Amino acid sequence: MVAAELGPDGVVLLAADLEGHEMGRAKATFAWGASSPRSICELMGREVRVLLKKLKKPQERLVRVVVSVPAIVDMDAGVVVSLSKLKDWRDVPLREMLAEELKCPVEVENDTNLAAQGEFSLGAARAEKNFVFITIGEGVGAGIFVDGKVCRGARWSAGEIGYLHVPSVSRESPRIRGYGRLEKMLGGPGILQSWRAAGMGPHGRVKVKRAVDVCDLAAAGNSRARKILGQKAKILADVVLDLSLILNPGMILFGGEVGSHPVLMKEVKKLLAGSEFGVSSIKLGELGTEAALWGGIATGLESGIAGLLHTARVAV
Amino acid sequence: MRFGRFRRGIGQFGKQGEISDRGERSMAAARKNRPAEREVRNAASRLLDALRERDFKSLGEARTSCGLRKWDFDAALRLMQKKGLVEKGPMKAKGPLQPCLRIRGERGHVAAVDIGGTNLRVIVADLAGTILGKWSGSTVGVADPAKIVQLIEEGLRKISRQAGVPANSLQAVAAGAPGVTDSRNGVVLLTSYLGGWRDVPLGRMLEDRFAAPAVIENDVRLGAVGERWKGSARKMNDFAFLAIGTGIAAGIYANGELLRGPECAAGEVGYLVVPGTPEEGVREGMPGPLESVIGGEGIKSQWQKETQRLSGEALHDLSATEIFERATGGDERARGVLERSARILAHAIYNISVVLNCPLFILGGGVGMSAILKDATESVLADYSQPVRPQLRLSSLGPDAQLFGALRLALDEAEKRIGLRL
Repeated sequence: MVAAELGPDGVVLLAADLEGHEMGRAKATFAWGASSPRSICELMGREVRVLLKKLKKPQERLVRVVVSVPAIVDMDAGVVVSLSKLKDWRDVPLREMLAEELKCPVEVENDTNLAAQGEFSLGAARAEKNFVFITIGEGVGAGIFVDGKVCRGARWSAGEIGYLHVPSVSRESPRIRGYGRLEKMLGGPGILQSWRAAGMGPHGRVKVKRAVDVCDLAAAGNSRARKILGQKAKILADVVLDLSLILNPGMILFGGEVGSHPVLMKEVKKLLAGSEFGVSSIKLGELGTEAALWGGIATGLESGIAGLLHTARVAV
Repeated sequence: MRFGRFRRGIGQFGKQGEISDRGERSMAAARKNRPAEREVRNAASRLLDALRERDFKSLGEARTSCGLRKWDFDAALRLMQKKGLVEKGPMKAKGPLQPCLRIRGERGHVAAVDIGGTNLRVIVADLAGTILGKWSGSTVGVADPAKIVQLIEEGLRKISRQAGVPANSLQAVAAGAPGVTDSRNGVVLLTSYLGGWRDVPLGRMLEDRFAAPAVIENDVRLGAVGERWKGSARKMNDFAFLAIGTGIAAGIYANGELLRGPECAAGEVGYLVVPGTPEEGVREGMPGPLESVIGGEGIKSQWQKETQRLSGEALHDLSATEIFERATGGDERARGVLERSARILAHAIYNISVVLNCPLFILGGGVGMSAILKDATESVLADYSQPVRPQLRLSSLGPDAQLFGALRLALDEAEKRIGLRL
């Protein structure tokens, strides 16, 4: 069993046995310019074979590969509808391409949905059939579980909350228009941008490279960072409120690089304490940035074992 | 003869198709000699649904139109005949063709109830879904749940007397209540109408009174059920029914399932915050931010503010629909109200559609049924770029959507009681 996470600049692989125990990992970055679907497939094929060799397992023992992609995925056809971060990724039949490359069944799924699946199977949402997993990293997205199943919507794009219209966004940035305004402000790059735009504070130069650093600074009491996070938390609070009203989930989980930082959650909780209506419990995901990988393993185990049982029965 | 045998062979093995291995199928058949009970019941309720829609001239036509396998269809038909729910028509009648199957509606009756803030409506239908009578009364000033149940009984008795329905043939009751409703336990958790109910076990009260199973559901969710059965969203698996009246709420279907949420509060979208809704926090018992702007009262107060601003005087009271009509007549002030309402409604619809990837919205309720508002909202939505552009439709059932939804649930419950539905 292998779960693979396709990111904007590389792939992470996680191999597990049929009981879900970790066996090994691998990581590879794309060579410069080699991010076309074909070359990524070849890279993944190569990496999977290397990983299996390292684990001393023959390729025939590979039961299933689950790939997480940061994109909208047509689950019926196994097609990646569009992946904005990489070139040439439009309507890519990734499932078939990889199945051919790896000679084993492949599943392709949206990264946020898989992360939600991970939290559902192994993480913070084990006891909750209705929940929303909000991930904030580079982008912003949500995986929605209704009655223990992922809700994908009519055209597979449910949970694209980076496009929501909420008041605190339009108030703060009337200039940025249109597509994914919320995502641009709330995501990691948005936080960094606000930090830079805030200019030189009384604290002078502080080295900030990633959005998480801003969160750390806020936790340490830096007033500039706190102010920025306060604004972001206001946006996130609006998102949480709207999600709660539409879906009435039993639980809301925060994940992703920025989202899993406790400072942000604390601010959001503080803001929502005022308006008591309909907001359920908010928690941090337990699997951190590995949620999608483990979600992949969980998905693969479910369908993979069902497949094995089926073949076994046919053989009998 | 050979040909006949061959045909039968295809009927049993080839066409049925699911299990290609002849040996396996015949072994399973020998063991059980009939399809699984679950499948039969499933097939029976599908056939029943189809028969309520239209007549069929032959059994084959009925079977193909339900998309059933012969095996399941025959078993379902036998089951329904055994329960006395369906009878076969004359096989070879001269003259115009007769329907080959008929639901014996007189086998039982169901009641559907819509409890509103001002009106109480009751309808009685037979198991074929034919409505036999309607009754409506007033709930103004009535706060006691027991009094409501008594009113329902009064209405039921009147209809039964007029339509000649025996009192003991009631198979199920379904009622919609205006508030947060726990349909699993049949409890109205919270409503701001009816003098403010809290934790009223309405389901049990109805069951005790009518000695039949009762279903309770939120009225807007019932609207969604109704529109999916007989209205603008027929057979749709993903859509939202948006009721905009004094308050705003949504009944949402996602992947063919009605969304309820663990606290039964899914779809309480009157409390949504979108650009343009008031900023201050919501106090308990007050309308939510969204409904305070584009609910019936919200639009009225928008209009009053607008007229006060532009002409220095508050004009006489107009309803939301009248204000929208004035807007198309060229009234600048009304135009402002319409544009603002459309913009805010578009934000709300857009947000729901982004979260759930919901492609269709049915607009209902006193304000929502306005075609002018719908057109204005559509033109705002056209400017947003998004994965799916939600389509807007007016409710075709209007105020009856809830009643039809309740009727549908009552029929489902009756089928369960008879033993057709799981």
